[in-house]
Amino acid sequence: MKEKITYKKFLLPSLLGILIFYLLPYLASFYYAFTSAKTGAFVGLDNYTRILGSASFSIASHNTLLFMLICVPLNIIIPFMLAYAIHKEGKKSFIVLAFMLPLVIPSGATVYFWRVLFGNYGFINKILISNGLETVNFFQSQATLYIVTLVFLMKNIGFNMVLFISGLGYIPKEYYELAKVEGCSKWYIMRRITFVYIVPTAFMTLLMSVINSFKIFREIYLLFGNYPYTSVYMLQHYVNNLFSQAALQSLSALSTMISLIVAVVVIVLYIGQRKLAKDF
Amino acid sequence: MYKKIVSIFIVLLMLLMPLSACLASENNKIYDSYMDDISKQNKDLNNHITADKDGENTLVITGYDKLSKYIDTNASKFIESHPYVDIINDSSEDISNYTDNFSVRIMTENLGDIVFLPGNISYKNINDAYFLDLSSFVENDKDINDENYFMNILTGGANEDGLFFLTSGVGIMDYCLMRNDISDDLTEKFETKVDLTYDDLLDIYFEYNEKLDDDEKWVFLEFYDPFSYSRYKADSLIDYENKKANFYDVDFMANMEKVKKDLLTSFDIKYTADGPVGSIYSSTDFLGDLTDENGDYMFYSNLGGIKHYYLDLKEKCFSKPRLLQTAGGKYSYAPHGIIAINKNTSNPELAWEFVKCLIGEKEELQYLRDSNMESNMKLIKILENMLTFFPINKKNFELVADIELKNNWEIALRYSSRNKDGRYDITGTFEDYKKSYLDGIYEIISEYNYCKLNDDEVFGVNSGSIVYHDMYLYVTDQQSIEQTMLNIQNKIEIWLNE
Amino acid sequence: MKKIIMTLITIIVLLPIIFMISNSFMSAKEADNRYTELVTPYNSYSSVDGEHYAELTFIPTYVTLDGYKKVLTDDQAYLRMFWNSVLITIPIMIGQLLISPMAAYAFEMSTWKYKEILYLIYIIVMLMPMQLLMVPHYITADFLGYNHTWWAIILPAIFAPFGTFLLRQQLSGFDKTLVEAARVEGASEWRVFFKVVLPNMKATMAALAALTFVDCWNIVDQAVVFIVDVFKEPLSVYLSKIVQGNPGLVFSSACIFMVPAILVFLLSHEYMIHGISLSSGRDV
Repeated sequence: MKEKITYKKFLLPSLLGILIFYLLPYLASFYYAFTSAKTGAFVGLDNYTRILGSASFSIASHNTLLFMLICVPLNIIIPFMLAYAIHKEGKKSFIVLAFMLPLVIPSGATVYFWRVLFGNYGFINKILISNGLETVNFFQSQATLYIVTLVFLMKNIGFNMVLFISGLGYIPKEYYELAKVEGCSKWYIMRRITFVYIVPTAFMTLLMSVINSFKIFREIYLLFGNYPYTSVYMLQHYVNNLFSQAALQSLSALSTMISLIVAVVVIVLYIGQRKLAKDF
Repeated sequence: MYKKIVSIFIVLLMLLMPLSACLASENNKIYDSYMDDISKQNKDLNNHITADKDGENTLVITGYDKLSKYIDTNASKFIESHPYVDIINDSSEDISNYTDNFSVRIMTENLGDIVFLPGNISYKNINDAYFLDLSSFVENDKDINDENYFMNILTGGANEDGLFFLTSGVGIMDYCLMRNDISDDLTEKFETKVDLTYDDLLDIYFEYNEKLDDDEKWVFLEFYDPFSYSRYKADSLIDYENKKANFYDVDFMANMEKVKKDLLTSFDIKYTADGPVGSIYSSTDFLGDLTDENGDYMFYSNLGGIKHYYLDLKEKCFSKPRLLQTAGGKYSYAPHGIIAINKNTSNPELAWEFVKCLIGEKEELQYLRDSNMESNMKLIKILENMLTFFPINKKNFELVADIELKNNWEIALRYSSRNKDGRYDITGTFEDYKKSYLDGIYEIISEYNYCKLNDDEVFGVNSGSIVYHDMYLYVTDQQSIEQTMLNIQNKIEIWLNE
Repeated sequence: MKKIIMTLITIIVLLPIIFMISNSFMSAKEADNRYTELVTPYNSYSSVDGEHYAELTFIPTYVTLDGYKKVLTDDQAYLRMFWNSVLITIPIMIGQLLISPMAAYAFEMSTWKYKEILYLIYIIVMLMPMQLLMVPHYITADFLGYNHTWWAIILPAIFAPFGTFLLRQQLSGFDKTLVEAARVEGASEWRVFFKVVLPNMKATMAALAALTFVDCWNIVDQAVVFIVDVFKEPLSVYLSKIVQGNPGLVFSSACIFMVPAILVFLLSHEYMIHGISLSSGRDV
């Protein structure tokens, strides 16, 4: 009895904060989601249907999902290959530091580089035009999505690489030695030992990649502003623009809807991860 | 250990650096204005102070752009007569800050008793939901009549619901081109036409292209800057109900191409991300007046122009095009600033008296001077371009007209001596000129119609900045017109659907 | 062979940073002439088809400290915004370091029935995208009246559950018998916490401080929504707005902006990596 009380004392500030700033307003947003913007009266599912039917929402969600589908697998495979190549050297090697550096550098500082490289009067267009080819409008065409993927990858490879290195370090060396003694081929070792035991870490990198893929909004916003070309207009832009119009009702409807989906996905993954961890 | 000491030292240095730089530099306007901001009790945009119901003697004024100076020094008449009233100035320094959030402020009822607004936003929210109907005040007040004010302009914003704002200072939306050989043709052509539009003006330009000087071409450039043209047209191309936009319109694109090719290349202007750059911009002022080598005004692009020494003013002036298709009538103006009273005010009578002071003799001039867009413009310059921004109080108008007409007269005298091709012949004395000018001007002003601006979304920050980037790419030849219009169409549709 | 490829890839990943740092030693004029879109007399020699394209370089023609001098001594707004960034970051760091250890300790040691459910809620909040979390923040900020000030960013970030999660990961490997031994000897709860538990969390607290600093130094989402006044923006947002017009100043101000982040990273990269690998963990 006494223990519970005293431990709750430690939890109190954090719990209060989470309640006031995250959970209670979240419940309040449910109230907003069902009311009208002008009159404040109850309107039922009006806000939801309006959002689901709006063309901007469909464009935004389509782009967001497409971006995640492209960049998350790349962000898992490439770091894995890199980590596998260097994990024997340990965590403190210079290469790990070099890959971690783009993470800590703020986006605003390096955005100009991309503009100089890919702009309409940029370096790549200069190479193209001096060789007689036509210039490519990198920032206002379908290619924008791929450029954004490149920016994302160059920034976030380091994070997953560190995860994979520590994950590879967890695999007991005895397994490898045993396999060598038994004379297995390299590919067999990789398939049977590495891939199998890296699954929890890969799981974690999947989760982290998905979370970091939302943060690409920073680069896109700093490069293109509030209304980028339609191929990179993402859900975050949609929400941001709703904020600047102070459309609290639409915002609440949108956020409740998507957050419920995210919460369900997280719970499923959490339980799944727990089970996987038990197996290992 | 050593590494830690060095790094902590560097961190401290980095923290102290900005502080010292901010404190040491004397010319740090940004820092100074920021400190002024703080010392004015945190005049943040949303930290407003509404008049409390108990306090009967407070008036809160919401506005922008140096209103503090105006209220402190020029509301003296009001302050003398009402010494027990507290005037709280809740205006923000930055006009764009103010206008960006204005619709939010209205919705959250975050405004003071008296509200100032710049003239170039739309007034769709100025209605009986949030603002007082001033028609009863205007009718019952003895001073507000046709003798003292330009009534059609002062109360021009009235609609069938009532009068919700007063105009303070006027901005003429039109301009006048006066030349003997051209204006006769044009008055014939266009006299019967009720509403001249941008496109008509463009036709005029291309028809008389060779006959116009550079100075006169400049007038067209003012209105045919591709950005202005696109904003002008945008309203007709956007379908707000079906949430569609039709910028990929063949006529519109053809006109844009014409504008870009003929107008811009003839002036050799290049657009950069900062704005237009070219030799013509270095020799002109904000209002587009050109000066010759002596620094004298050679050509006015407005009603108070040098060529109005023709005593018979009206005949020689062809009707000016409206800038926007929704306005009606031959001459149109937009308010330079408007004044409205909040519906929830607890002192409507007091507020009305304060408003009267604002449009009173001489006080209005101070307001016009203080609330101009360019901070380096002096009063004289505004007066000289009087009829681009003019006051509505007739006594003020005469004060200002006196100065400008004398100036005009002197310049006209100077040019008549040069007398190139009989263009600047002078007949009559200054008194005749002034009398006929004022008569003619009053007659013209009485025909001015309130030009109802479109929804502020079209001119507002959001859609303006949406359009601007693509227009900039088009104007600098980085993108073709089709691609530009497609992009603009997509982005505007996204914005409409949000 | 492998080393060469790895080095190549490393250099590619570091290209933006090398670019910004090396170009910051250019004088402003040279940067203007290299990266402008206009054809000026100084760069017309390299124009193609009458247009001037960016002359990318990693080695300035003349190496000067001019850019830094301009940014630091002239009256520019960059230092004002730099200070804004600092003002936002430091309270968040301090708040997180105060609140998270206590919460992690409580989660780890308590035997409350609903502990895991509450922890799951913490994790869900931690994994939400920022834009969705900002709606509740906005509602609270409106309600309590501090909207459009820095508090709207600082207060919610202090209570972010990431710190609790990280520290609890560390504590799960901690020996609970030490705590019981201390309690048997009659120490009060606070003493146990401060003298026994906290010293063992130092590494992770350093990791938390470093990660929070890096995250807040680069804050963009919240700053865009909550802060309207230009003078209150942090430098992370303002830096991209001054790009037009002054390429010369962009480089030096960007480098000055990068320096604290790099410093923090160099000082604590072991802790950071340790923190990241903890947050991966074998079991969440």
